[in-house]
Amino acid sequence: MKKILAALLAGCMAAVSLAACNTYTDNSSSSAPSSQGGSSSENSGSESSSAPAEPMSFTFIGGNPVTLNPILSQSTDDGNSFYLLQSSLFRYYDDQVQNELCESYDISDDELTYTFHLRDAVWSDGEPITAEQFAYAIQCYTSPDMGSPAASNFDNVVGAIDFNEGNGSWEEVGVKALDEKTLEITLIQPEQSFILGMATSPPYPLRQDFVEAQGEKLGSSPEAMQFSGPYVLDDWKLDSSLTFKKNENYWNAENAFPVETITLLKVDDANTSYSMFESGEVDALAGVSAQYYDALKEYVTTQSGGEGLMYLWINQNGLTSESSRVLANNNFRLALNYALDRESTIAALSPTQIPYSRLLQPIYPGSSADKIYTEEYPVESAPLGGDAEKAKEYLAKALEELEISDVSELPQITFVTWDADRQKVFCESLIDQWKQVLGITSIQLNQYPIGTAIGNYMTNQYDIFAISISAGITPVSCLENFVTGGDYNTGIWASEEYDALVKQIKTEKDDAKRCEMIQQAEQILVSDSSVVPFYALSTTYATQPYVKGFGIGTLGSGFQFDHLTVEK
Amino acid sequence: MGRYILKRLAISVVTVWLIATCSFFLLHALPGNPFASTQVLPADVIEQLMKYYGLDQPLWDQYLKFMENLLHGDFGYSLKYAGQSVNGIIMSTFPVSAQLGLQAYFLSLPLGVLFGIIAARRRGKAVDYALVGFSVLGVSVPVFIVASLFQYVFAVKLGWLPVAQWKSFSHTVLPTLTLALGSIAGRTRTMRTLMLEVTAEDYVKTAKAKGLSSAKIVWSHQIRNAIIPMIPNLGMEIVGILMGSFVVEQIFAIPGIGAHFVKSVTSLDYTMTLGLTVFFGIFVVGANFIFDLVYGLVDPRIRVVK
Repeated sequence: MKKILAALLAGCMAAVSLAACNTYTDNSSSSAPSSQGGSSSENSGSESSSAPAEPMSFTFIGGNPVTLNPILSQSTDDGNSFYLLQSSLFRYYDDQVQNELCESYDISDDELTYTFHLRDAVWSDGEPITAEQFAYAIQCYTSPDMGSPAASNFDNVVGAIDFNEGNGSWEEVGVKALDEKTLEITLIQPEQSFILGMATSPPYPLRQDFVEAQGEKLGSSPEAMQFSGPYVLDDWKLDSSLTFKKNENYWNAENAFPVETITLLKVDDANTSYSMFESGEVDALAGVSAQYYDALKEYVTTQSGGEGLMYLWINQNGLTSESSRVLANNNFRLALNYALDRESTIAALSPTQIPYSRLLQPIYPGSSADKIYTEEYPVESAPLGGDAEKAKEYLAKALEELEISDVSELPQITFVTWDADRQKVFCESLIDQWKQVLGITSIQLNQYPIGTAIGNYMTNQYDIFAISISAGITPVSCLENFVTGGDYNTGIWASEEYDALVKQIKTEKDDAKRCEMIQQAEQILVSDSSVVPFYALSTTYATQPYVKGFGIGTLGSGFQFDHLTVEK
Repeated sequence: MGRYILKRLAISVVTVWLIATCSFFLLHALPGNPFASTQVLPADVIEQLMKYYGLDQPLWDQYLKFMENLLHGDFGYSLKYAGQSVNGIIMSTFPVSAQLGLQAYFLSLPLGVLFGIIAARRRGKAVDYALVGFSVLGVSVPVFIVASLFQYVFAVKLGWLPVAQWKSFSHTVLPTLTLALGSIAGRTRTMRTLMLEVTAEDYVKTAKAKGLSSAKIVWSHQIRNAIIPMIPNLGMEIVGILMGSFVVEQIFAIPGIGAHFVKSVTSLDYTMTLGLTVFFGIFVVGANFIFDLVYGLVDPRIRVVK
């Protein structure tokens, strides 16, 4: 009997030691299983490189990709990896569109046909990158069989919508590879930001034979991917870590992307992330949670790029006819808007965000490229600290117009949100401010599970809702969200003047005139206060002092690594 | 004995089938779809994805397809991680959880038993109180506090060990200790109680009367008898520990299976949840089967007669 127990024990011990050989996610263990010790994270770059100076390596904690299949990718966390692993016609960095694989391009006189001339560039395995591979990629994005969330990026390309909905063939789509190095794209109507869009949501080239051979496995592991970008994926442990190694075959490898090895870790626990940063195990945190903001203050950078704004949506066609009648009153909405002290609310609840009460963020060029639109063209909006006096005036006017004698007689107004703690505290603090400043007690908070709450939002089943949406790459794309029938206007307000103005802006060629019209449209929306901007989302990240050049672009939400250096 | 094994085997297969069927229909009865989340997707995109993954088919057809794949040992592709097969995810994450679990298990098993014996032998002395105090603390302090404390002391302040990740043996030390602490404490208490129970048994008195040395009595008479009631628990415990500890894995950023278990349900990743459920169903049923047999070997009284 003793022998059996002993044998069992021995067997289990063997299992332990067997397992011990295999399960570490040491980035370099696949190539050198025996020689790597505990300090491998610092040295892992040294074995692969022949460079004379010590190659730089960079380790940071951030969101991990869900899939690296560019056709099915829908998560913003996939973006950083694509930025490193793939190249496209253009690359967006230094706040500018830079030519990447596209050496030059021509635009036809009617501004509908773009002809891109590709430079000589190769994949990491030495195969040339051709125009046909770009055309095939766009075919995959728009194909009705692929279910690609990126399909709508090509809505303005001739025939793309029909093809995507299964009513047309690929031959009718306005994307043609004229020869190995020439790609032609034909648009339905002129689009000023077309090139900007190609740089910020770029199509990545795909090789048909490889995509078809991989099938469903495409983009699921380093072996199921091909790399056209500055880095190749060396190792990927799902939801744990990715290791990127410099691609020596990248066309611009000598002049950009100086870091040899980049490691992206996923750490769910905020305290662990903080401890790893403190002990120097990682060089940067791509996100800093609010409770460690003060502790990391000297390392933290907060950048507000085109991440978007958090808005309050005040619905004129809401849950009940009584509440809709009240909320349809412009002065009442203004009272709600001016009563809010954005500064104190944000400082108390999420200090990493930036209070904001305008629609357009200071990220767009003004009448000329070196000026900033928001500085040149102010609009009258609620002060960030709130204005209680004005709010009370607006409320008094509103009650008079609505023929309501006292605030206590206001009908019930329902503030709908989802059941996240932070969301709850945020909404309750707003309701409290309306109570304190205006004496309104009839606003009630309804919390639902996230799926139900978003469903309510999309079907207009709310009086007030708070949710953020991403900013557009141009002022027009922001304004367009709120026109009648726009992507984020589910019927909460309508203004013919605004709709007409936005239409005009799209065709206006003169920069100064266009900016003036944008200003008018923004003023209409802000004064109307059906869509109430509350704060700007920001990216807050921490870097060790020896890290230079880590940050996000003004428009893009992803990190850029072009000039990153790590001088330990 | 052979017939008994066959019968048990047949029951095990039926159990696994029941687990798979029940979880399939319960999971599909949950409201929502795998593609609804904080990132609002347009309705037509969701429709395209549903079609792509065959979720627009009648539920019965989906069930038959699921069963057919299951017979081939194929759990299908994850809905959340496009392109990742559930089998692949289990293959890459299970060994990590298993290593962590087994390390903790084989640290806690001898230590817990040893502490229990020492406490029982020194009953009422300072050592006993110290060990009992330790076991009360170990059982009642939550894992995430122990983990953060270990990280702070041994990694941040002393710099002896890395804070987190899973790269070498030194990375496994803190999570193993964290995970083992609770079971050491629990086992110390159990073993102490069991030892005290057998101390009063007649055969111990007889052994004493025969003039055996105290060490020999403890080793050959007390421990062997005291440990028997622990064996069925050991079986279930080993299964539990192999399933991965969501909390420990999350705090130490370990790429184990625990997180997938929790997250796949909340994100309604049907294939992933079903795959994991069936995988662990097989595991639990199999482990029970084996430990029942082993128990029979150790304790003749419960051996099957027929």
